[in-house]
Amino acid sequence: MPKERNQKFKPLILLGSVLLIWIIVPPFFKKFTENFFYEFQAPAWIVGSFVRDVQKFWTGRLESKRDLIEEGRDLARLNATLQYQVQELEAYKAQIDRLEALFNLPSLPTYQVEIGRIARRDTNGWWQEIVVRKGKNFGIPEGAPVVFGGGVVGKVREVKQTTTIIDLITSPNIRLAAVFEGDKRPVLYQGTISGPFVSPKGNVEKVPTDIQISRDHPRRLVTSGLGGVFPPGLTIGWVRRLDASSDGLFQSGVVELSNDLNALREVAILKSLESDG
Amino acid sequence: MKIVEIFQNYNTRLRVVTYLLLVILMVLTSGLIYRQLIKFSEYSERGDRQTLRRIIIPGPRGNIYDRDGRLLVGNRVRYSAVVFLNELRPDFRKEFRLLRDHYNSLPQDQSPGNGDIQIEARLNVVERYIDQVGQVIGRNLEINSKDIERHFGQQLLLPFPLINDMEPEEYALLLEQIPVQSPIQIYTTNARYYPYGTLAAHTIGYVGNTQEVDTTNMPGDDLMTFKARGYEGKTGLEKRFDSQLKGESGVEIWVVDPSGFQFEPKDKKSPVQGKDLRITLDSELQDIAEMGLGDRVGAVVALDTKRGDLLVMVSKPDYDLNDLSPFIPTRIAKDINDRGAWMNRALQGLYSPGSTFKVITAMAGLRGGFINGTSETYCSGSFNIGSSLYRCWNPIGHGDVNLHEAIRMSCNVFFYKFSQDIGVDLISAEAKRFHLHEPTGIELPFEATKMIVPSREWKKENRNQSWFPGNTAHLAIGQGFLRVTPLQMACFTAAFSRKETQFKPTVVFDPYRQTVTSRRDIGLPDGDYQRILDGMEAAATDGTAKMIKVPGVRIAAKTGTAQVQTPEGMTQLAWAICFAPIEDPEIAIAVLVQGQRPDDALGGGTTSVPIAQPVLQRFFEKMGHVAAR
Amino acid sequence: MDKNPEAYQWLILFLLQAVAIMLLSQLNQSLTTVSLFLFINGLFITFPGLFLPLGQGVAVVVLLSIFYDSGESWKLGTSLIPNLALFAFVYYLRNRIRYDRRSVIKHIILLVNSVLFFYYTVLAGIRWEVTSPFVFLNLVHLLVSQLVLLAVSGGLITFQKDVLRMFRIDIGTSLRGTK
Repeated sequence: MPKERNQKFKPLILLGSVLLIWIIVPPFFKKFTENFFYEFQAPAWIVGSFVRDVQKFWTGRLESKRDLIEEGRDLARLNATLQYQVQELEAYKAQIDRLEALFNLPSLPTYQVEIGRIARRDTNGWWQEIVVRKGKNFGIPEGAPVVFGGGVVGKVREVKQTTTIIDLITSPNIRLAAVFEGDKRPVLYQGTISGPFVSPKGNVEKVPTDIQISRDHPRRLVTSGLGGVFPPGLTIGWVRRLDASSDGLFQSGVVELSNDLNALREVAILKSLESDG
Repeated sequence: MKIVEIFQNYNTRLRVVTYLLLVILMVLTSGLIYRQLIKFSEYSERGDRQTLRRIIIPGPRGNIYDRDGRLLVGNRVRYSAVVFLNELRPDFRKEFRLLRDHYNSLPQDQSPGNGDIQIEARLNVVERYIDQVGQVIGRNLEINSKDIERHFGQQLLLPFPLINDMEPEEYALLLEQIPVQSPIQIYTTNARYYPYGTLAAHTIGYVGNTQEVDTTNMPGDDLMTFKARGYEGKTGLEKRFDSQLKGESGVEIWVVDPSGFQFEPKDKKSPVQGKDLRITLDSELQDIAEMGLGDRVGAVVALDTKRGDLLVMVSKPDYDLNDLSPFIPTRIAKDINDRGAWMNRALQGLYSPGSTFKVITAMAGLRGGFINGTSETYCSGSFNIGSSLYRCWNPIGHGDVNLHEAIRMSCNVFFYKFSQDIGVDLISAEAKRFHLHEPTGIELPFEATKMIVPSREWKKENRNQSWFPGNTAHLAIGQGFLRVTPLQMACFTAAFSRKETQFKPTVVFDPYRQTVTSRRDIGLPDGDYQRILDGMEAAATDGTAKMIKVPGVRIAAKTGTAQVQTPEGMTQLAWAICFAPIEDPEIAIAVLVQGQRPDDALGGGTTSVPIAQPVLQRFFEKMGHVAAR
Repeated sequence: MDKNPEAYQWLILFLLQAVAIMLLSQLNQSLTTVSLFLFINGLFITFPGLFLPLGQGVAVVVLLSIFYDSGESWKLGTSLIPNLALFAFVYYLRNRIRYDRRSVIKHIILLVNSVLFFYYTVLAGIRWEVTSPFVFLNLVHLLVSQLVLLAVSGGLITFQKDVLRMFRIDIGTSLRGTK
């Protein structure tokens, strides 16, 4: 009988023992285990990402030559425009340098851009993050801003050996000092979980009451550059409506973020040149 | 069908376990939805925590706008970084244990008591957070243990401020660089904000901190209550319309644990902003009047004679209202005190009206039949009453003077002479007919009440002396015991312009208000009224007030220069009153400039009239009567 | 070294499930474009609970928990307690059910999966603010995951059994061994 009872409680005893061992295991061992398992998985995501790249390549191969030629022509046109804009930018940059020297102004913060392919994307009810195929091996710093053509992507949360985990701006963990384009007063942007099958959204709060927005005249919310993380002027999203708070001090509203956030393939991580020394 | 079959096939024990798990799942779901599960680890402690506390958060005050809808008073946001002490409790406990272990390793006599260790632990923890804030914004912030302990003892449920009144740039830095989950919260409160700084400072008034909040109709009246600081009007419109402007307080009711910390919110009502107030002031005219007065001491009042609106009320010296918000620093208070700037001279300053009072003496003379169209006297520059010599302002005299000339040139001798016939009783009665002995009743607090329209009885009662003929001569030219406020003189001017004896000014703007009337007719025959009016028009055309001219507008004016005794010696008060247009008056103005030193050379015509002129000019430009310059 | 392949079935099963988790994460990545998300960890817990000897089952679950936590952003150890508890629950059931019936096993998998899903959702709710879109999104994800599991769990169980059989491990033998 006693043996049978022991048998009955065996799973519980085993469960308790495992938990006990887990509690007393030294933290460095846990950390080691975590890193070991993580680095074990990371290559798989990277491989997966490469596989997707290859898939894309082969999809491209299936396109008709005619289409490709047309695409190529469009690209060449775009390229010419961009080349012209690059030249313009160079001129502006020189002008800024001259003015800075003339007025003895401190230089604007400059960033080195690190382009990273996305290895993994976790946008669900539990996480709003992406993993990029570059990590400590490319000297990516924690807390660095991440952007793409459409504006802000998020902020680097954790840097591993060959990957970087980025909190997306849809994450409620992300808070930015934003401004409405054409205004200079900082407002608060914070990510928020959107429901299923809708475009990503965020919240904007602490908006001064004199900022007017209507559905027909939405306004662009951009980074303020005041928060010390993001350079100024990057698009966060568009705001179509603001509601006044009952205390009359502020307004708040919903920020419509870029739909491309859910389909990103590549992002740019901005490494501050100052922090690099 | 299939599922039913499956369940039928299960043995009973499995079914029990399954149902049990389903029940647990449902509990989990509902708990999740109602957010109770967020603090599920504390769930078991709940039984001990059934004590309620109430937090009152005052609503922001309403805005004040001028008649054209310009914002005169609003609320600005104050950014601060705060921590809620209940969120730091795990930190406190950890720090306490560390310190206790540290002190336990010391000899018994060097080890402080548990209470002291707790205080030290709290200080260390809060210091860590304040250092974090300081590091982000690049400032060296300090905190002292007494503040923390006071907060702990008295305001446990309110946020503890690490830094108040941050610049927007600092606010932005903290937003981006302090993690969202940090116990450091970026908090916003409000303070009064005055876009025009000193403009109409006395009329608007300032607010002060208060914890007195009306809690009637609020839930939880029997609960222990913590009140966040709000504001109440201390002077001016802020005080008079405090009940309208002050916001509706918000209330939060919390379940607290045995130590008094927030455990879970039970009820919440957001504060609501107070109602806005639109006032009659015209900030553009106000600004012109303030610039005209400049650094001098004095007051300007302008009234819309038709609707009773107070258009301008200036008192100098003044102060920047923004310096008094959110609280009045000692240095600022001392400075305002030293400059004598607290006083609203237009409303509270009592001054001899000087020769502007001659209009009243003239009316008393006309009404009593002592003066008429042919009354004339010779001004040699002085006049004898008994053995005393009373001087005209013009030492060489005005020659033959009738009422018209006496008003145009402000001849004292004319009024000295006829005052002796009219007598104090009639002059005093005439002044009282125009309500110069009582406050105007404008909707502003602290209006002077001790104005003096002297009479025989007054002198007997207050000075225990008889009334002398010389006193009448002084009264006739608006000097001696007579004391009125600039607002009263403006009201008198407005009332006179409307051929009435009373004018009730107002500061509350009503776009639909039509011409108001006191129904107190002046009671003078038209010819008599016209005589005075002609004299005043002549004064404005080529008399003492000739600098008032506004092309195309007929103006009636009267100047005055009175002597006043100050600690520095005798100085002068320069007055001007005017209204226009004569045919259908729309605006009345009173200006007073007070000399500060005996050598200040002031004159009603040369000092005060040039202050009134641009106000008149702009008023008629805005009305479209005059082309803008 | 033990030559008996049954002694290593925990390792084989763990590796199999690890690969499955990685593949699932790739699938989830494609699903993000349509804001969907699949979670089928209930399957990974139920299988060792029903078919592996106690010690080996615990080993699989412990390894799987660590593997899952380190790959996702959960703090290491987050999954250990619920996974072990649910494993124990399933282990208790194995002698009391007709485990040879697929539908019974499917229902256990769904139950375990939903409990785990709720557990992670509650943790996310503590970390973030619980808003109605948050609840709605998670409910949709749970529903989709359950439906997918309902459809494929039978096949996946068979697949795992087949893989073990490839290594000459017959699950039926193991099961009897525990009785």
